[in-house]
Amino acid sequence: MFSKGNGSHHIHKVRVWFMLILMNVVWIVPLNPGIVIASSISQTEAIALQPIIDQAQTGDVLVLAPGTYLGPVVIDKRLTIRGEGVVTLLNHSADSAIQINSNGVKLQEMNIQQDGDGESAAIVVRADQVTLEDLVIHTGGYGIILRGANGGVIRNNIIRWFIPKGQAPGTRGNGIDLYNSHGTKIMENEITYLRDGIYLENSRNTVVDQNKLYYLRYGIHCMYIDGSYVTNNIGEYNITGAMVMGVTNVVVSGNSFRKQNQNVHSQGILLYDVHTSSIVNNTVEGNRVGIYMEQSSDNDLRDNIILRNFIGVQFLGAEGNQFQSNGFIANVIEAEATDSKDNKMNGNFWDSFQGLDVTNVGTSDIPYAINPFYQQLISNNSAYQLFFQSPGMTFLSDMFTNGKEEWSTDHAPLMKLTTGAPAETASSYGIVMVVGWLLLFLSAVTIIYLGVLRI
Amino acid sequence: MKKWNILGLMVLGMLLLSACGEKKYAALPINEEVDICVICNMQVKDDAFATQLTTKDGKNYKFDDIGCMNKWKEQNGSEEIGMDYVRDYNDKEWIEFSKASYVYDESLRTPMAYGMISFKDAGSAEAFVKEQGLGTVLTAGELASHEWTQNQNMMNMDMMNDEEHKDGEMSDDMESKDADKGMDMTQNSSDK
Repeated sequence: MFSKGNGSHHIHKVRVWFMLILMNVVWIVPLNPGIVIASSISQTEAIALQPIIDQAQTGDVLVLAPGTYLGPVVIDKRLTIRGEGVVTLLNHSADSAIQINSNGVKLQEMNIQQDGDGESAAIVVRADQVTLEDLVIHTGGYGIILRGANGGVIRNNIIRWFIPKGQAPGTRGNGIDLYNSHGTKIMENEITYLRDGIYLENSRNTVVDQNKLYYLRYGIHCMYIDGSYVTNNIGEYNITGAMVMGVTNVVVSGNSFRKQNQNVHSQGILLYDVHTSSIVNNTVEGNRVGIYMEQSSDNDLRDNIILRNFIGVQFLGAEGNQFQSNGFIANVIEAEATDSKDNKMNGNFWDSFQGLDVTNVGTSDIPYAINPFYQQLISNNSAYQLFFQSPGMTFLSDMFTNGKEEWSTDHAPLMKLTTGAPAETASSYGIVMVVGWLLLFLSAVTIIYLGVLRI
Repeated sequence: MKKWNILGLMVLGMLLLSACGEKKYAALPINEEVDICVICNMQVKDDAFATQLTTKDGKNYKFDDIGCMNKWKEQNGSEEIGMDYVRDYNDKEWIEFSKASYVYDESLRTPMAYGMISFKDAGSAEAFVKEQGLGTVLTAGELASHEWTQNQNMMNMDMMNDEEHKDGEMSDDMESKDADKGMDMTQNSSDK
């Protein structure tokens, strides 16, 4: 290689630089906290944690010395156990790494690794007023399970599914799983790669706030949780962002569910059997279905931004809901509704709708009606989906006006969108365009000056 | 000779045709990737709670809970059903709905909380009830008069009561293995 002289020497130099950059990358990777835990395990001797707990008195605050500890442990007195982030608890058994059976236990700043999969959980709580904070949990099965545990606080934890070394991938459980545990606060957690991020069943007055949920089956899955709040959560790449089922008086607000589009049944928010609840200020973007609502009544859906979904909203048997001032932007199909009458729809912005505002009040005088023809057709024979948006189908849909007074209809659609969010995306598009043109220009120049010379 | 050949062909043809007319139903396997419950939209897990029915015109519907299938029957009627299947709780074998035995208890945890599980024979259903110490054995016929309520856990209870909890350790007879079967029998009793 060197025999070629100066030219190749130059290439060699470039290669060295490239290697240096590569090495930098290699150095950066181990800083990722998850990997550090996994690699430090094998080196240190693990200390059994149960004897330490057994020696402590009720009400003690245990600050564990840095190191690796071994589970499983059962906590049956009121203790505060703190790891200050440098403590790792390993559990190779099928039991839970930590079982909490006493009220008022606090667990903070620890790394927990639960090797067991399936129904085994890193932490099982069967007591009230338990606090779990700043934990990093790697689990083969479930993360945190609460059973008959009221008034708990689960805050700022990281929960991930992992495959223990030398094991086949196990069955994923849920990140945080509540049953019969009322008044729990679940805040600021980050949950990834598990089955359901936060699963709530029969747990009323729960607060689920500011959690981040990625790559799960359902981000938040609630069943029978009356009077709960699901607010300000972020969900991406899940099959469904929030699955809300069988509830009344629930608030779902300020959440952002984006890019739920991998599975054929993906959606941002699914509401089934939901009543007198409010679904406000949410953003659903890039999902297969933005908001899906079925068998639900008397809900208030307001100020949601429905952006770039395949289907914006889909109603089936949804009656008597208020559906107001939502913004529909760049969805392939804005809305579909079947068997959904008596919904009070007005003041929504439908970007593909061409309205007419003669009186200049900001709302269109022409109503926006959702034609159920296509939906009814494919529900009878799903093969007709082949004709999606085909000219014939559009024509037939336009012909079909049977029972129009019962269609979900927006009687006063907005002429202009009033919320700020889409304006931002428009400007970012502008930048993309400018950069695109610049790149095109540069490549053209390069091709002309270099490409032509070579030939 | 030729005559006989033709006659033989005709008989064979008749036999073939008659075989076509006979409708055969078979339970389809569950594909967790794409199967969702027709009623509640939840993923149908490939577990003992999954049920399915095939209509006379060959459409197959899957459900994640027997309760959801019951709801479908309420909405669509039973006349069009060719065959409906439930699964044995122990070995997940598909069984015809009418031939299965059922166990109901409100504390049994099923995907949509209907609290109904199915067994291939009355014997294994009774064995389950004996082992768990709860539940009522029902036949398929008795399901028609069943109330089908979802256990929403003491919905009528005063909310304030939830805060008042006995201090101290809870009796803890539930092991994680119990949860394996998707049930937490002790949870209800511990909340009372």
